Amino acid sequence: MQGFLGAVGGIASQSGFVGLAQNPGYLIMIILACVLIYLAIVKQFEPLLLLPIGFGMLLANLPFGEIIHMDLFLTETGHPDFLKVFEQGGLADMLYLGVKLGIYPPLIFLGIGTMTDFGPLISNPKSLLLGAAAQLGIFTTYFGAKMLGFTGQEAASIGIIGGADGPTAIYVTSKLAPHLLGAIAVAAYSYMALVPVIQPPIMRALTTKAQRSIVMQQLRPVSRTEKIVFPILCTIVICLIIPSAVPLVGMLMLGNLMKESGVVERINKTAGNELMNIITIFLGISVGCTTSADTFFNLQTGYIIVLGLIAFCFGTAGGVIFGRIMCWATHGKVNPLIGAAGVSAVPMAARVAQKVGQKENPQNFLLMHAMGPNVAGVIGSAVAAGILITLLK
Amino acid sequence: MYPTPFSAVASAIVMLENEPGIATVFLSGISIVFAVLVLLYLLITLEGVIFKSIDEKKKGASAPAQPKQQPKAAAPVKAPAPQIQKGIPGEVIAAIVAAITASEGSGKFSIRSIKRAKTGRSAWGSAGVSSNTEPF
Repeated sequence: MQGFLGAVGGIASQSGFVGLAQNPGYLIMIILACVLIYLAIVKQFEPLLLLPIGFGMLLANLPFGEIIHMDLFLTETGHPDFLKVFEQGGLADMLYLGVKLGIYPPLIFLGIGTMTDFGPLISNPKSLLLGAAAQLGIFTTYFGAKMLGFTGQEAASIGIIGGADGPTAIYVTSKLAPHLLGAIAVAAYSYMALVPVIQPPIMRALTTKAQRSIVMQQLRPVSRTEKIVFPILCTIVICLIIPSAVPLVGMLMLGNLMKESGVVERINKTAGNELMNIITIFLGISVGCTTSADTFFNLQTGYIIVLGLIAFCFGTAGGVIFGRIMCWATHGKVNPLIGAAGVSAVPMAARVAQKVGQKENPQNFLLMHAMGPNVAGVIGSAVAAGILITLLK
Repeated sequence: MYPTPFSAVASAIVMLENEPGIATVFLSGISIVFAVLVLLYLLITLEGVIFKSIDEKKKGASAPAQPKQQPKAAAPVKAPAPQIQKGIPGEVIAAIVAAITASEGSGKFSIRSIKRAKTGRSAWGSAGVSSNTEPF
């Protein structure tokens, strides 16, 4: 009888409820995780990532679960205690290694490259300038974050949210400010899902009705040879200038080359489908697990949410303003709305540009023209990531 | 909010000794992004121009070859007048000939006859076909 009571008592004292009583923050995080899961499933906010992230958040905030030990990664010296991770690590610790070692984001970029068509960009290279202008959001947010008291590395990681590129944000944050990874990832993917809500008011405020109605010239057809030369040329040029961009830009362009060459159909299909899906699952779970009550629940996270919104707004504004400059310079041949697509949430931002343009002029099909700046933005944010890592490592 | 030895440790990690100034990062960041993408823009535009000139050279080579062949073939063979079924308007004939020319390319051909084809499909059959092809 004593043994039975002792055993039950022992189990009760090790249950998660004790942990919840000790630290009610866990309970709030569990509720927040359920909200994220609701947003992913019901509102369809980037479900491919927000669902695993939300669930990872749930798993990490069930006390005594031991699925992840962030203290092994965020040590005083800054170097993760890999030996202890291998000896004592839980499931999410092992999966998180792929994030920490910078493996997952470049491989996701490989998959993204196989799904990207650089044709509209090659036939209208001016789009590259719009892709550059939209990265203004990254650097203005860096400024804002520094003003709020973040260190340079933290500010850079928060700023890269403005690149509107999940893998880029995770890559930079895991290298520069890993303790902010959970908050930044949640903010980045949530705002990417909110692009159709955030962008149109800014686009309308910064353009005139006449400019929004501009119909652009048909794009010239791009030959297969050009589409094969492009990724090779980009990789060589960008990576010679900014070596720290090699993993991201290199993988993106490799994926694209695999698609355009047409001779490696098997591995092209795998990279874009099976590999992407596997890495997305691992990435989502492990990033979600980094958001436990102690790392997530503070003023910093609140600031990150606000700064993330500022990043997207300034990125959109930068792209549209430069679009107006280009419109003026080409005597009205460029519709400034496509500048907003430089915020590289592919293809959402291009679709938003299409919709806003169609409201003014139902015959206007800007989608293909907007895809140019959209994919240029992916390149632009990868370059910006490389610059920030070089300056602040 | 909650006692966070975590954030104390975490911020200890990220304190850089020689952190570049805010303005430095802002200005150099934006200018380098622009510089790299402008360079790419120039290279891609150059590449586009090179490919266009290669294309034009090819067209120039094949164009003089074509007109030489045309005058030779035009001289002989006048085909008999085509037999057109009654009731087909002239515009339809013109459209048919244009469609054949567009799809056959540079081949020479002459129309022998144009007849209305039997559809050979009952109402049920047509309904079946359209319901199967509807998703496309």
